[in-house]
Amino acid sequence: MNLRDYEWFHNPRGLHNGGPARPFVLERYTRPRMGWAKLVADGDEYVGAAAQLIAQRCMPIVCLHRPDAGATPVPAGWYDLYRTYLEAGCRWFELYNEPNNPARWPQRADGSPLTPVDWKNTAGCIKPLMDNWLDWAERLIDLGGYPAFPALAESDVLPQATVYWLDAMLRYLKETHAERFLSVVGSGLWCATHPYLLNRFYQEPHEGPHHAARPPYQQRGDEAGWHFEYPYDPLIQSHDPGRTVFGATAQAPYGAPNGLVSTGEAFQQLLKHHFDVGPVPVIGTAGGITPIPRTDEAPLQPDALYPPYDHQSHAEATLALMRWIAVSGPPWLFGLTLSDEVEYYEKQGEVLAIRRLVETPPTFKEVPALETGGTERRRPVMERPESVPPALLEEAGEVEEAVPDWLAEIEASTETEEVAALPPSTAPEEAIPDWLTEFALGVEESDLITADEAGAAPEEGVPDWLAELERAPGETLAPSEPAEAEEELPDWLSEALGIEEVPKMAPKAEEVIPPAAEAEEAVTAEEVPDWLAEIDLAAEATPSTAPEAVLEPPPAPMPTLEEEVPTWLAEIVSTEGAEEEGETPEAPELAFTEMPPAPPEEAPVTPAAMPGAAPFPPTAEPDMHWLLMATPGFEPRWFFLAGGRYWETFRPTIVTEWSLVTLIPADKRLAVTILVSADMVGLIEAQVKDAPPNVQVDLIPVVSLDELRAELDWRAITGKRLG
Amino acid sequence: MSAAYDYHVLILAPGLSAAWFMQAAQEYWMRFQPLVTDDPQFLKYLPAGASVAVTLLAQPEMVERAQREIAACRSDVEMDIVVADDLPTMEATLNARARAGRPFGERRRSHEPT
Repeated sequence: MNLRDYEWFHNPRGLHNGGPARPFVLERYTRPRMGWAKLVADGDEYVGAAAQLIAQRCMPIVCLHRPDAGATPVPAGWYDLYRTYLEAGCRWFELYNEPNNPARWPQRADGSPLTPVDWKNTAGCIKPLMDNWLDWAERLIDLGGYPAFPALAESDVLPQATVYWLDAMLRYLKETHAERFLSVVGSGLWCATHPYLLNRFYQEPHEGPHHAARPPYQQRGDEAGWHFEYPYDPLIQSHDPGRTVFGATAQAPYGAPNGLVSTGEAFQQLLKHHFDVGPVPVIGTAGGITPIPRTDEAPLQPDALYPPYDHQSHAEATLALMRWIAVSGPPWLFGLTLSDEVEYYEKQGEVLAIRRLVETPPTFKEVPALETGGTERRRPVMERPESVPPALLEEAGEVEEAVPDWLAEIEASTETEEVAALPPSTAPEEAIPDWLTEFALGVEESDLITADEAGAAPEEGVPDWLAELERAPGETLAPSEPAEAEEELPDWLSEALGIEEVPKMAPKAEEVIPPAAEAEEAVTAEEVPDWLAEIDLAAEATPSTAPEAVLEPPPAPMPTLEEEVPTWLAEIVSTEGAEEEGETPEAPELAFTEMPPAPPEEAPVTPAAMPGAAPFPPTAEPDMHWLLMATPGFEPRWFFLAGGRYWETFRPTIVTEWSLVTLIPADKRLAVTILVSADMVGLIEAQVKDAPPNVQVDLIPVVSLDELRAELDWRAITGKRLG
Repeated sequence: MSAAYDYHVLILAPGLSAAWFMQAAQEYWMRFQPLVTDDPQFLKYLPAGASVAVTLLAQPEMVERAQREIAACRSDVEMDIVVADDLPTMEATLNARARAGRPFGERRRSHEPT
């Protein structure tokens, strides 16, 4: 299928109903001009409501309700219910609700789940969940519906960690039902998410910088400068460079799913990795900015890195969020159904957010002609009921139609001769936004490759759709760089818009998070805007050469991290240490605590066995553990890029000379992990062959940064410091 | 390793996550390549009589404790204490040292009061 084939009204606004068997109030959806209505139903009680909604250009998403469903199969009688809803014009359906949440599974008397709810529990959780879901999805397609991949709870607690569950589910499908799943992908699959944003959004000041946030009382929903792209927004990247949806930083070791686009992005990347397909539509079927503060309540600030929000700014942000989805969000994000009717209309009466939506026309989303991939299962031809209006985009009038940012940039770039003529070598250093260069941990600007080189390099630092976010000129994030005057569209971005085959960012680890995806197929500028920009921050460095250090999209999630509450900043300013350099940031107080790691599913390639093994068994914990990485040919920076999780877990002493082993008494067991370039293994083996008996050598031949990361992450996850 | 000393050891005070080394001290390490540990016991194994400089990374509330632990393991080290409330400040300080080629700031013996 193509993204444009999915039937909906291109209006991303949505509302989640209050639950099954409740009185249905149509105006709650029509007054604020919702484009989606999530209907949780016991049976057919909302069939009439669905027809009314569709007639008012609001597409229902139907989820038949079962408490504590776990992974139980669909009752046979439900398919008659699905037919009824389909005949009313419904197309979008969900099954299961947050199966990574223990509370969603059959319970014991004491409230604990009968089955351990953990992504590692393949037999008890993943297998029955996916087997039963796939059966349902195929039957739903045969009826004419679009089946949703189950929405997961947003969690970075390891047993329930969202990205781990997504990977486990898709991996199981790949290993067990690949062909069947591909036919579902090609026949109407979409992904349901539950983006509860907390306060992880902000609006820039009028003149920037991008990473700064307006205080809540200055936020305006109808003004530009909003950021909902957590964890890729400049603010969080300034605090935790390199954080991705898969985590990959010490502060977010098990993923960063709590954002509008986070889980959707993770799903798309995993889909691409495991099956080389996608994207498919993603709809947030619960969530939004929650909780909704009362009018008399102090501002809420669940994440102290982001500004607080109050009742008023909640309204502005909700309005902005819906517009952002249409104009700036990824092409596959079709909308969000706000949770829920009770919160928005009943608990404190009609909240301000509804009033803002009522008084502001919706912004409709133009969807590019992107193929989902997969194979196609024969779908029935569904007759549209007479009450279903034609596609909304065909009608002009009161509704606001916005040109998506990525399309505007394409149009702008094709008018600029200078862009086409710009020599590639001048592109990256001066043009790449500073907040983007912050992704490159320790990467010098000179390491950044040009747009031309980017065409051959598979790595990207940010999702493709993010590259197209229209960036206002102004100050940058880099602490050492002063505010810049307004700049035109970055040259690298303008150039990249004309490149057909673009690499796509994806994480690297094989086991839990997949390696970088293959480049997407080209889409021509005539068919669809080339909103995919190349943001290749580096090619893979070679050990023996100086810096072409690579920004690797971090692979496996890291141990859960509990963040203390720091203060949010409007702007990063200078510190004493960097005063000599000019402007430097004053960083907020931050504190981090560490959590234990978690096991993966597959073992990466184990390193070569080493001579000179100590007389104690390899599995015994040594008294001391060192890591030697200043070896000939090995680029030490790779350890910083790939070894965070490993070092976090085991804290080996970093040494720079093999000769130091002679300092350790013979009665102390010392293990030395040695990172060495694969082509230097022989040299190192010769040096360590006469290691003292109490010294165990643990050699890791390094071929690539990816493999190094995979090996070290595997060790951290399994708790085995040595190979 | 610093040429002025036989051994230069970077020690992370208790309570600091790995990011205080992997991120904040990355450039510093790339420049000066000190030995790195969060266990002061390591100091015991360095040869007696060798000149040892310790760069201690710590948040304010942990400085005193870390100094005591270091002094208990080895009393003759030259202390170089880098105190920061937060990781970005630490990173900025260490990066500045790396750029300037100055591995040390103020130095003192470990048993001297801060």
